Amino acid sequence: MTGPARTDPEVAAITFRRDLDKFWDRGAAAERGWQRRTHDQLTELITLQGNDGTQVLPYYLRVRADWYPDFPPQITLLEPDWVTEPPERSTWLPTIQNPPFQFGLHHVYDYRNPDTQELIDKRQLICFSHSFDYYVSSHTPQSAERWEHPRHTVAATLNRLHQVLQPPCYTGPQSPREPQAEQA
Amino acid sequence: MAEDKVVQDETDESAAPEKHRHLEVEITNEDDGDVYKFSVKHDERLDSVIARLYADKLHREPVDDDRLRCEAGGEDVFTFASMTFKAYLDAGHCAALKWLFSGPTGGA
Repeated sequence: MTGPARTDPEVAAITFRRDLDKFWDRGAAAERGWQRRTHDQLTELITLQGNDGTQVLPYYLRVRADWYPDFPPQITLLEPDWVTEPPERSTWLPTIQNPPFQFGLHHVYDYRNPDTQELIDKRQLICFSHSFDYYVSSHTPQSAERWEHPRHTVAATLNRLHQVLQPPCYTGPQSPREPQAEQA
Repeated sequence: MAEDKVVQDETDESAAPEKHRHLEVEITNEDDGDVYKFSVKHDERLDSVIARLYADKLHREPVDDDRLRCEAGGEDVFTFASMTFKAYLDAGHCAALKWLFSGPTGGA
């Protein structure tokens, strides 16, 4: 895939871990019922909670720091196996309506070479300016929106996701969730 | 003992007129996770704290899509910027005085 050069892995890991730990140590993640697991130095697996006012359901977010802090983390919602990208209308994707900031969730998106328009990848896009994939999917932020570390950190990414997973934006999973599904 | 009593009275805010008593406003910057605390008086206007937020903490000018909202319930704070804290609290807004700040976000 063409696009920005990856950050030196050691720099990315140190910066990402420092910022994520700072966010986590503030306590908001625990209050929200989130859990985290380190997959490798550049990858964190975070269980978020969607609350539509009637029930709370987990969503599984992979957070990659390959381009951090020059760019935001790359984030992907996954099925409980932490590998599979959910298809359209999956119970592992949230329904989000009328977010209070510009935001889009595309279960699959055509990533194209910006110069040739050649199709180079098809995968999920969580589209807002604190998500890496926004910057490699033909989107251009206004200057005030553009990611700028340390003014923005992984906290910005996770706090925006939390807000759209709360009422009134979040209205439940894209299809009903079977009780046994979360143990899959 | 008398000296002790005098010192105690000077630090006892409940003895001060309400407009002189201090409140604490806690603002979480959602963009980087920092938490700021401001001591304010009842008769101070919200916009004085908002000005201190930008000048002393964010070090920039406000822009259109900045958001400042109450942590409990998400009510916009900028709307009430011209109110005093006494009026703001008496009207039932954001009793805990915990606010969330976030800058503009692009997307589609």
